[in-house]
Amino acid sequence: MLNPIEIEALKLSGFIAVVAVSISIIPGIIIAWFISRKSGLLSSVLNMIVYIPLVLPPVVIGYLLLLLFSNNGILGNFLLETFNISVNFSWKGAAIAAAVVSFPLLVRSVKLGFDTFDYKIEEAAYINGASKIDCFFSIILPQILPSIVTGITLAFARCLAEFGATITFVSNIPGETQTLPLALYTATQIPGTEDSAIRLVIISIILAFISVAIAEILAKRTNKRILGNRN
Amino acid sequence: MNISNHIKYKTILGDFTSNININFSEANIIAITGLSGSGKSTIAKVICGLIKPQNGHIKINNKLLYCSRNNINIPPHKRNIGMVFQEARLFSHMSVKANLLYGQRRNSIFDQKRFDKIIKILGIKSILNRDIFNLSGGEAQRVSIGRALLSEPKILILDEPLTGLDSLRQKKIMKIIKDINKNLDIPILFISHSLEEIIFIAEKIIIIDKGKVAAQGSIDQIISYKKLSYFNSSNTNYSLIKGIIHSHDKTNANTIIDVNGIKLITKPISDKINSNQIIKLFSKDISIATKVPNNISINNILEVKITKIKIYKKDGKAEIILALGKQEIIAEITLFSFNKLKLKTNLKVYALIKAISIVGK
Repeated sequence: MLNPIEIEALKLSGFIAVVAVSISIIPGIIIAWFISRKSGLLSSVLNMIVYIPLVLPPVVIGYLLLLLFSNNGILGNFLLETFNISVNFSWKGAAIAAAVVSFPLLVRSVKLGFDTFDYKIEEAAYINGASKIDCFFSIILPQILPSIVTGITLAFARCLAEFGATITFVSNIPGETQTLPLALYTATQIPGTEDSAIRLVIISIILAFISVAIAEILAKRTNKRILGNRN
Repeated sequence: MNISNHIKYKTILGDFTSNININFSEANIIAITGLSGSGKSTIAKVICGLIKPQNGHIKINNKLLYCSRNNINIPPHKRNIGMVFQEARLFSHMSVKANLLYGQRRNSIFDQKRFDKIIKILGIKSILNRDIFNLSGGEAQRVSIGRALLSEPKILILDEPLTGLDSLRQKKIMKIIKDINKNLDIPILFISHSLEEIIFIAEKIIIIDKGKVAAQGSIDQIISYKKLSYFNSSNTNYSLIKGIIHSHDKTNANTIIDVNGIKLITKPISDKINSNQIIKLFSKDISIATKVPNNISINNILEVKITKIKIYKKDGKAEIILALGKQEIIAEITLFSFNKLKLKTNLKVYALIKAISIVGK
């Protein structure tokens, strides 16, 4: 049904999205908690930095990443010297680009969960003998799970759709950085591959439908589990 | 060993200053009451450690939880206090049973006997496996009490736990609270603005006004009009008096209550002869006559002496404070009647009491 190039692009898209979201979850939750609960300059600045990728053109992000992660860049040099890792022109770079671009969406939804969480429940947990850390893991995280699930699905969807930052940062290499949108871009650039382009468009649309449906089902399920039938 | 509990603190919250000093050693039910904004709930929060006072010390069950002089401030999770709020504050991602065991796991070794005993007192055996969002308000509040009790606290604090429940459920929970106190030997601080609730439930009452202890003592000591005047907003004036059941009159279906030798006739009460009763008399239900009226439907016509008169010219009314034995009741009459009858202090008059309600024992 699908040809090898399409299968490869599809697999790579999924793999990069999974890696990107996985590395974002823990820092995303911590940062969301910080900007939701703490006030002050640091919190405000962090809040702005986190949201900037949402409004910057992806090509700007891609170019900034290129500067940071090139072998002479600050982070690129550090990774190369200490871990002997280079992310340029590899799927690792594509995952970083996807993570940066999708990070605001994750943080935004998780922050909303922290914002709307009823602190009175937290007080009840403390009085019942839970320390702050205990309460965070036993009460707050499970209570805001619907927001975390929404954040993860939104971020995942954003990763699948990622194009601009990726092509600028790690180029368009089949089997390495050529995700579905990049494969479609290639198909639109070569005369005589219109059929192939249409097939990729259809695959993209189906994938979008599936991911939205999964997101809806997951959100409904977690909401029901945490909040009952009120929603 | 003598158990001592001492709560003494000063706290400033915005422009509200609270200066509290409370002592108790008995494991009974102590009611803390006062108007809203008087600082009742602040006491609960200070004991739990949710509010750090400016200075003072908090000692519960001989253990110092806070002391400004020695720089002691034990965090809330190590204070071992059972607290039930106005809202049940249950953890909605857990079952009823998991909620009940949340505090227990963190404070004590599981004791099946104790668990069963508490479940029985609260009557929540049939809902243990239910989800929190399928509980009624009364059920949720009982689970919340259970969660607090299972953590084996040294004191149980209930902060307006009955607000928002209907009167049937309120009565049920009040009974449960009494049972807890009797069966588990734990002191209970019951914070409430409702006089009916505290009279039913408490052995000792502390009245808080403007952040200070205005009066404290047993119900008997606190029942006099003066101290309870904190509750009397201008249009629902009433007085409380105590008496004992003298006899039951089966032919006329009523009960006779003895108030310092004066007999009051009420609707039938199911309690035993010689049991204590607290009676509430609305000031508007008491009329005054200078002679005994004949041919009148009112049954309670008592000879009393006027001890004090308060005139409210603007409202066109007068409050007549009457001595009923050693106790006092208030009658509210119009200024017109007051002038017509030429009332003055020390005058002997007849109080015509139209309605009597029993509010507690």
